[in-house]
Amino acid sequence: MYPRLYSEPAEAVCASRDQRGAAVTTGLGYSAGTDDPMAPAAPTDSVRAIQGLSPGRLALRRLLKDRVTMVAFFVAIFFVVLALAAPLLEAAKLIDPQTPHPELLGGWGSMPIGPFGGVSPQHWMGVVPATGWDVFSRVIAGLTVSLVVATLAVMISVVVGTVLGIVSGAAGGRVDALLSRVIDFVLSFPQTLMLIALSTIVIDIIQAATGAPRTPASMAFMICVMGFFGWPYFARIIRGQVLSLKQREFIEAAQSLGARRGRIYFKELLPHLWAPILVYTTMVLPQNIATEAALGFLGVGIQSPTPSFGSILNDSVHYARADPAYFMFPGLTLFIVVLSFNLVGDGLRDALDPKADRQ
Amino acid sequence: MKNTKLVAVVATGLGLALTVSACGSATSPGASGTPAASSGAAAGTPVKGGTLRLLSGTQTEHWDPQRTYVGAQIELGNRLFARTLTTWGTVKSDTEQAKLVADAATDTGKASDGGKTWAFTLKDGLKWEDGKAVTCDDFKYGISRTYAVDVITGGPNYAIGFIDIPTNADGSSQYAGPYKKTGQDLYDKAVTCSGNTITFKLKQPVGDFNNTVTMTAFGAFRADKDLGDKSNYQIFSNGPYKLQGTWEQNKGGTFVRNDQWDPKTDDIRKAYPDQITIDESLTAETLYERLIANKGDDQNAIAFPDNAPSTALANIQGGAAGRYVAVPSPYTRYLVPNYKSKVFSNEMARKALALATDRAAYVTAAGGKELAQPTNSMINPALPAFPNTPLPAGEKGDPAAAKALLQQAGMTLPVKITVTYRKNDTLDKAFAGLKLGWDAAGFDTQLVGIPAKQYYGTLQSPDSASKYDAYWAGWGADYPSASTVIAPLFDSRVNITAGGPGQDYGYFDNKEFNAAIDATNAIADGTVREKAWGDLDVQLTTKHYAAIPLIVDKFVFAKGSNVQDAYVNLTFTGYYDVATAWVKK
Repeated sequence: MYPRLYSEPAEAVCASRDQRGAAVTTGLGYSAGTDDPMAPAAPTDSVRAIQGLSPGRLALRRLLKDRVTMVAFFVAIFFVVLALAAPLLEAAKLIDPQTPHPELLGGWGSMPIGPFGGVSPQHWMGVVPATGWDVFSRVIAGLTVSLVVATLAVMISVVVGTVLGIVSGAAGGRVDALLSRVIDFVLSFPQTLMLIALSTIVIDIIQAATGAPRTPASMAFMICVMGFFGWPYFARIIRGQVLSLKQREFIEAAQSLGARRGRIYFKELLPHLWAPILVYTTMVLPQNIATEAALGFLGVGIQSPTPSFGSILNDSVHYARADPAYFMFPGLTLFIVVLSFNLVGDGLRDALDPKADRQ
Repeated sequence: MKNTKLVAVVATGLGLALTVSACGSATSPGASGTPAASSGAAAGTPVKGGTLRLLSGTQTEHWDPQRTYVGAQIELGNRLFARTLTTWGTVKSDTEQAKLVADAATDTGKASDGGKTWAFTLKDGLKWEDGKAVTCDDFKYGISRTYAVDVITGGPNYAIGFIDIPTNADGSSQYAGPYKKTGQDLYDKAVTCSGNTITFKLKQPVGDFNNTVTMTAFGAFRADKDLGDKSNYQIFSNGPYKLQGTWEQNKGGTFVRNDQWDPKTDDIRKAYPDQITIDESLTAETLYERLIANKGDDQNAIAFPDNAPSTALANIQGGAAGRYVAVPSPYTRYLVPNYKSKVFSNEMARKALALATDRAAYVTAAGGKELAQPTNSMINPALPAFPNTPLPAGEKGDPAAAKALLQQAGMTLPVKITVTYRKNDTLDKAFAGLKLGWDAAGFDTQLVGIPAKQYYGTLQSPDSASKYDAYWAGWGADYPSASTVIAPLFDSRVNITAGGPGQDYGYFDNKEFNAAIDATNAIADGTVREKAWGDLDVQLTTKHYAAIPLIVDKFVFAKGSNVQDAYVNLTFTGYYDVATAWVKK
């Protein structure tokens, strides 16, 4: 049940090619240690190092050795925890994205008083012009909104993409041809253009249908559209994996034992697909965060006063000249978030598929 | 139209003023007391020549004089190509009040029959751009086009309201305009030409009718050049400039000298620049960036008609020193509770909303205390009728008192309300602040930002009555009389129909109030009448809570460093007056 390497049918080959892996490995997926009658009776430390390792362990080892990825991983975890904790922090009044502070503003245009957009011990990233909202609180609250949107969109992409990818790859024939054309069809839509063109109408429809306020409706819209345009990438990769997996003996064995399609798809094939799913999820997630920010910047999707990276940047860019700090702080945070997730994704891919960047 | 320079005061007579002297110069300089920063330091003697560039972020909807109702176009139309019988004079500073002066006519009009008959005599030597003389019949024909309400849309309806032509049962005029010609004899009787003198017979005395004819809707139009709806962007000039080529929507056009215009007939338009170009392909943000940067041709440019957006305000003092001006805007921004909503049909709930309104948040969002002030009067401080009603609960409001009121009214808290506003950066922030105050009082506010293009259309749609509980709106007087504020906004008889609420967005419908409007209109003495309008304003905001005035703001305009003697003409629509502007070489 351990992860298989999605681009490498035989994990043995893969492991043996690894140059960052354990100093000495057997290159095989099974233990070559103590069962061996030829082994010394009392194994020393050096002997224990000769033990065989499962591909999962190998991958983990590679990961742990990759310092950049580990730093990025902890940064990413930090942001995720922060995003999860934001509603609690808000309830505990530790962050406060909505209370205005007109007393911190002055002059024409109600600009923040003090350097760097009004940075102070109370307001670590300064305050928003014309309202006096705390930028730091808004960035954290915005992180939650942005991550929720990005994560849910990825989940839609993963579920739809995986199911259709497995079906397409395993079923073959007409089903495969049809699904592949559907994938081509969806991929050929210009996603950004669609989002911009459709946003007003679709959000109105969602609001009319559910009676939801504007913000949840636009969040739902962003999630659906990003999820919808994300799944074909997953489906293609999964399909490719399944095409090679289905030639393997255990599938034939399952088939000859009379396993139903559902079982083959989800009990036999799916467990072998975790690696590519994991890697692509970590790579699409930051892409979605960036997409939300870019679209918000263009005025589509989540709108001020609800904080998200998009809505904050959309507002701050108007003040780029007069109050560059208001743009810099959230922009920098977004940069770090996206970078850390991207590095984690890259590191995971290296660890699980060492061949990929070494060819 | 829209809220830029607003909609028609239909039918029911305005001002029974018999004293002509009360008209025109009624405004007192910016009652707020803050003097406007002066922008135009005199820089030598004006010179002819050069190109004055107008940078605009607003699409021109109409150039047809009879269809023009947006202040900026009324002013430009009048200054460039459409001379009117009377007009507002030019000013020598941004705070000066302009006087009513004769333009195409020899004087500012002669009233007789107690103000029911008005006569204007045309000057000699007025010519169209093809050299033909501008005649009394051209003016008569031009004004008649207003009656073709199915073709000539968008313009003010003052002619239909004032000129003595009987109406049908449904309130429409029995004269259907120069295309259908139904009832032409009625019009010919009410508006007569004898030689160069045009005479108007009105339904009832209108003391300031000579103010009304400053609008380009009362300008001349050549019958042989009339293409009906297709004339919308066809400019046929009798002023100092004519359009070169055609007008391109969303792009603009170039005005060049009209050699048939005789400066001897005109003491208002100096016409210094050889060309005036209008570029309306910009946005307010970009055009102010350019004006602040002041590079190349932008040194010869002025912002017209867009005022500086809130995001440009912080840069303008440092970046455009000596090239900007802050003037009181003619508008009052206010909130209208919808009488047809379940919540706000209750007077206590309306009062609670008024009490919980945090005007300070709006002031901050609108650019700070120097550029906006809280108000509790519908009438702008610039008008003599301004009653200066005290705020109901200070600048920040009193949510606790409001909550008590809601509970007293027996409402279950939180009370769900939906409030609309015109979507832009400033109002997003202002309403986020207002919402906090309302929510603290026990309302559960849902905000709906509606794009500017659809905003007033949405308010006037009959469906909105059941969808929204309160609306943001803005209004400015058509000319310095509070009759153009209270009556058009709160007289249910001229507003509410099956087709929607007109400008009475909240369906305020009160018989006594309507009677009071009539009574006020009938007051002969100008000072007493304006005071009575002020009293009606106080009634609206402190007794009925039919409107919750929010703020009055200032407009900030900027110009390039080469543009001289461009002053904001507060009396005449409130934009840079191009009549006196010249370009330094």
